[in-house]
Amino acid sequence: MKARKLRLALILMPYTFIALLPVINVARISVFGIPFLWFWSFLWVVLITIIITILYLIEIREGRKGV
Amino acid sequence: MYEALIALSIVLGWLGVTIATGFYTSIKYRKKGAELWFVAGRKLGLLILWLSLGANIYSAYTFLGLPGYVIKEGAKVLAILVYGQLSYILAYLITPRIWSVAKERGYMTISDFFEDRYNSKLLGALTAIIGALFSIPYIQLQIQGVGYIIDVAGYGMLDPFISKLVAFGLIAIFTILGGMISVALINALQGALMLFAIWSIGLLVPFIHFGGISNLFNTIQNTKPELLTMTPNAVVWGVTTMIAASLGFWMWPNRMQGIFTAKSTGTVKRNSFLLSFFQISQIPVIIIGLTAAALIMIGKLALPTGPDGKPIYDYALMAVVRATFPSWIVGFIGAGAVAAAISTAAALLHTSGALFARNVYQKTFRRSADERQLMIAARIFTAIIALTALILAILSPRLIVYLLLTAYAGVTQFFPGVVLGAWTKENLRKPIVLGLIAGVVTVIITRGIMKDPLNIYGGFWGLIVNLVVVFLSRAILRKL
Repeated sequence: MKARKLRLALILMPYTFIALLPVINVARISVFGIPFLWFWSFLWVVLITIIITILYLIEIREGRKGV
Repeated sequence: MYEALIALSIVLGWLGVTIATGFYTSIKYRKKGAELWFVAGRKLGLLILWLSLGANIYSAYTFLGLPGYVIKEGAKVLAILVYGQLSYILAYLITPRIWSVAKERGYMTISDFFEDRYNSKLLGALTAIIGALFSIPYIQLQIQGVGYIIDVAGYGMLDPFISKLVAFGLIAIFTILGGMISVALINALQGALMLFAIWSIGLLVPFIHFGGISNLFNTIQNTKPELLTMTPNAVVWGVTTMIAASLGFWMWPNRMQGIFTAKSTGTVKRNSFLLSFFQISQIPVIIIGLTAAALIMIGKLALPTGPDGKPIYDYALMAVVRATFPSWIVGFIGAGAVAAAISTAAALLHTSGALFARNVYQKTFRRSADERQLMIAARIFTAIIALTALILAILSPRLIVYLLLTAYAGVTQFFPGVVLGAWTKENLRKPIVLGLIAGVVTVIITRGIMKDPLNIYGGFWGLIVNLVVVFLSRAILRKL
């Protein structure tokens, strides 16, 4: 049950990108020379890959337990 | 002349190698017949499946479409970048259920699913036809893309019209040469080249021209700052696009077939996990697009213009590569991009042809059709789709990402039927038929006639209308 909630939370997490888009839509602030909107988007692309990796690892673990 | 010879011979030489591989595999597996043409005999190993899917997501859109879109629309490209990742995460939510339903009932294609689940031949045929209809813009963008690459690699020696014909010829050869097995093996060959091409130029180009990423962004900030932010309208568009396109991702007939034919639901999840790493490679592609935009702004790069005198933005990547590197590199990058486009087009054409043969020709017109007749029907239909796409590429070329989003808007309309079919027991045949038709008509209006009215993506409009019609007609039919 706990794993299930965690999984759902992980799946929904990237949607904060969509929800926050109007707020983070600024180019003046920059991170490592990259305007914030662009940095934020690039960051999320990498973060989502990490989230999917975690989801997959949970999957493998549950598979071993025979769930 | 000399440069054109080098670049073109590398592009064509590479394709020659892959054709030879395709030939070898199609001769080796020919005897196995139509079953193989449909799902490669259900025995795709994980590696080949992965590479096949991986090469499938790299297409002319990745290489040429994204940079072109950056120059034309600026930060709106970020919505396109992110929706792909959202699709992979959705795989964890939706594909296990779809897979087990398909396994239980022995579905091979999306049309099998619709036909059997809703007990409706009409839905089977309708989904096959709608899938094929919206694969036309997808094939069109591959033809345009390959044409641009051949054109650039020809260093002005070839007429763009001839380039498109060559592009079509190449796609036709690859599609005719074999079933999914050969396509998958060809893809395996090409994966490495594509990854290498994207990362090396993406990292090198901004340094060569601007000395680094931050100076690249500074140059754009000083010359055309509007490229770097989204207007409020663009935000609305971006949000609706990310939602609808990510839902549509798995609805592509070829992707659905990929889910159905996977060995287990774990395979689909593992593929999504592996594929999301491919998605990161879109970042360097976008950087290349930004570099092209900045170079154009400071007058160091000019794009070829179309008959209307406007620049053709999708040339951006190849133009930057040609302006930066010697012709042999142009050849290799071109080969990778051409290969990506061709493999995607071939896979999609295969699926569309097979769907038509099984779910329209066999089930509606000719129950007694044997394997040979099915294969012929599949090929004739494939040829019709490809030729239509070629004619559109010549007469009405569009921005690659525009074509991509039109194609996605169409297949997204399968979503309500798939989800309700897999998660509920109710037979909603009539509401699903009505919703699907309403959704597709809405997409045709909001993408073809208007252009994303109120800055809401046409695919999103379609989905909303589709869902409303499904639930309204369900309520009305229940009262009757």
